[in-house]
Amino acid sequence: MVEDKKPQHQHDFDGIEENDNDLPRWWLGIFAVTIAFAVFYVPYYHFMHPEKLPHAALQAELDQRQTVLAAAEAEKAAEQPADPNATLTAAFQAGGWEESGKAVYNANCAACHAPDGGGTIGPNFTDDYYLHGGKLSDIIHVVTEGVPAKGMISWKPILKPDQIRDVSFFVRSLRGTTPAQPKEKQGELVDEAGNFVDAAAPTE
Amino acid sequence: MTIERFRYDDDIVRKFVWATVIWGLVGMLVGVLIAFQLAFWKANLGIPYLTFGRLRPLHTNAVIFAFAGNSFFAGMYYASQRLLKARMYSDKLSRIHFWGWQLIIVAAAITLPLGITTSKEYAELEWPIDLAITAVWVVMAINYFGTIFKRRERHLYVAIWFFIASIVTVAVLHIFNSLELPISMTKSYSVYAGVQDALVQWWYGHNAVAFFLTTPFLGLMYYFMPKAANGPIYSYRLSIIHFWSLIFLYIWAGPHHLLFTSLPDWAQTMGMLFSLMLIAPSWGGMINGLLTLRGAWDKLREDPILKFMVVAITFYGMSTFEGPMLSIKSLNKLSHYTDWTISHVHGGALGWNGFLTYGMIYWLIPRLYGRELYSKKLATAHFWMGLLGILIYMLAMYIAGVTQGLMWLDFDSDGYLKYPNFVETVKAIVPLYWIRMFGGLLYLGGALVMLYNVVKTIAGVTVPEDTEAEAAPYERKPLVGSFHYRLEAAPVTLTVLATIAILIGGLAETIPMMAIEANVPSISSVKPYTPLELAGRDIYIREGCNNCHSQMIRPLRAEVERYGEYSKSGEFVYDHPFLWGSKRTGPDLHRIGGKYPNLWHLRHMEDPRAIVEDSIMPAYAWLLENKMNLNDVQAKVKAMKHLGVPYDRDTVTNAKTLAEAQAEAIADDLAASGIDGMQDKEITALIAYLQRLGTDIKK
Repeated sequence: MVEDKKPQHQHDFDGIEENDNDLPRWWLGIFAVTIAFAVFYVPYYHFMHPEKLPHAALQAELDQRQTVLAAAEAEKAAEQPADPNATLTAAFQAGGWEESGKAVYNANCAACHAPDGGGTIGPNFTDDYYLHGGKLSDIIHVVTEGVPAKGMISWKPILKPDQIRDVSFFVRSLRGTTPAQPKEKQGELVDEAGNFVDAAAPTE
Repeated sequence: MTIERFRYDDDIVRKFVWATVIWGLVGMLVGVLIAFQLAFWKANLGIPYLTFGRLRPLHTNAVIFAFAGNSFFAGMYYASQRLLKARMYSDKLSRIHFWGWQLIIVAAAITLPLGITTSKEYAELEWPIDLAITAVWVVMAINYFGTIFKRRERHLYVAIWFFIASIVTVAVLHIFNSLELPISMTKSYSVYAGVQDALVQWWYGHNAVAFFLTTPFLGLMYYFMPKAANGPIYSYRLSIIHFWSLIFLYIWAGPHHLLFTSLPDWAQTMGMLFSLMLIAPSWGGMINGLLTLRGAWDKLREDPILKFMVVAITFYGMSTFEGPMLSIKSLNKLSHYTDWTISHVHGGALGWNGFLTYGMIYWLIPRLYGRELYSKKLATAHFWMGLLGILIYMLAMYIAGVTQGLMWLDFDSDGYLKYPNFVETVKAIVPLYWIRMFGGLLYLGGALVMLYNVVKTIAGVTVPEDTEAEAAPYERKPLVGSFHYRLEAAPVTLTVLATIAILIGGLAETIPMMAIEANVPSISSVKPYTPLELAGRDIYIREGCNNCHSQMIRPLRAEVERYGEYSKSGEFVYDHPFLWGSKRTGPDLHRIGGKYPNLWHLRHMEDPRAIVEDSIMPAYAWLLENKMNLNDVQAKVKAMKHLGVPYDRDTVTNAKTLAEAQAEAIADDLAASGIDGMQDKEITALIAYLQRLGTDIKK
């Protein structure tokens, strides 16, 4: 065992003794490496690669995401049929969306529109009165973009296009059902297809 | 040579030891209760004074300032008298310090549950208590330096350097972070706003950890570890290097609490780099402590005191490594706002502060009462219970933190958030909250075993007289030796140099933040809060919402998708104090404004589970019943104007009328949805505030 080095001066620190061993090499090594890292880090991020700092990096990532979404949007637009509502109606009647639509509804919509669609904070889905139109495309539009002024959030960032379609179909399917506690009607009367009966009614 | 005979004041040490034991139990009990509340929301009991938001600050203040604080003072009074070969300067000042400190703790225990809080973490106590803390601290400092001046041992041992640095730095931190403008006996506003307030707060918050929980305890370690191990400190020169580098570097690291926030990038970089550079200085203390046992490791098997101390130092080493790792930005992205931070701080608090305290108490009790410890076996049992408790606690919170952090950031293959509903990420970790509570209970159980052991030890004992000691008087003669050797005999110079060392980092970061406007680019659409919103904000502060909700959306894609546009520093210029929060037990609220209808908020505050089935938030039904107090709203607006918030004269004069009119409008909207009579209820003010949050930049 190596002899401990002793300090030149000894004191009476209530009987506590001190050795004066050299600083451990590995300890000095860690200290040196962390200081060197700091010296390297500042010019690397702040002068050579400012694009890696958080805001710039985020912007790049968002731009990239936007490109992907825009491409998907363009693809969809190219496929857009002449009469979107006819296609939607066909898909609605064909079924297959029920399970997914209900799941999305329960997880995201039931809190404000009641599990049975009777409405609480948000409007009642079971009656024939609509604020923003009752066509399938109207419902999809409201779910996608939201109605910020009235506290309906846009679900676009959270739900995928398929989920939005399915939940909108599910909402449409609630029309004509009998909820436990229906909220009073809001908006204007629509016909079976979802068009406002009174032509003067607002469409947005 | 004459030899002087004198006695040490042992009574004051006994007092502080008992305060440590009692407050430790109280603080931990509150900890277990709030842990229970997170696992089981009904444990909030529907009582305003007992909700998590109000009790969490009570827990942190109790364990930091009451438990660790009294422990620091007990050890400092015991060790310093013996190292300086002098009785404390004034018995009277010692007792003013003791009773003053206990009164402050009692005041904290009363005011925090009442919702009297500044909201700034570990500095929640309101201004009259802040003043009392300052006064008691000054009394202690006078007493301490008085003792140094009448010492008989000329050289100051390393423990004393650490005590001096702690006393000076805590004073500086406390005073500058607590600068606030009172509007009543129980309410004040921070003089700083937004980003600046955040920077000052975390300069304080981080260094409260440094200079209240680290340097004082290093001082204790330097005395009690060699005493208990009966061995020499490993290296005198290491103690010099690590002391100065530690106190100099620590001060710079505060911004690592604000990584990816609106704090300018250069300040974030400082926080990260100085944290990394702190590894070696921190470990210097660990090396000096652990290697005291070199060649005597076998003593560990027998001696519970050494077990406590060695494990404490090991936890110190782990925490001071984990801390810098969490300061690395790419890791902080994952860990920030999660329970990983909670795991980290409890490693430090339960492992380092707690275990060092217990080792010290088991060592002190027989010496203070002149009787062998009642049971070594029980002390060993305490050790194992405590250790197991810490490991269960830390592991549970670590897994919870990593799990939730990953879920927040996770995207599916289509590029959508995999867990868009925040509550899903809460549900995933609730089982771990139960396990954490069990770990905390074990640790608390260990502390109760100690209480029993100590009570048994001293039952029926005649308290011995103060210990007698003798020493040669202070001798002034020329000193030959290195600069530091001479410095150790010059307490004033040492104190001045230590003060300079701790001021540099703080000044280097805060002065540019205050002075250079480019650090907080202004946004013209950002306007002051309306009087009603201000009143609502104070309800938010009273209920401690900031303990579970952040108001700081980080510039990360997952956050922008989840919450909306990331937060800009210019949005907070009127926020006295800032309310960014440090933990997301619930979701961020910075862009909550305008997201949901007023009725949503009312229903949600009344019964969160009516809206979010699995929510663990307490219900705040009393907000729908309590009448809002608008009598002081004008004083609030005036105070804000004094602090530089640009209210026009009309708003100041008609503050109350304006508030009432806005409340009426919200109440009308609620009435249209079938909820009547809310125009004078607290909920309306809170809704006004929440609906305003984060909306100005959209204008």
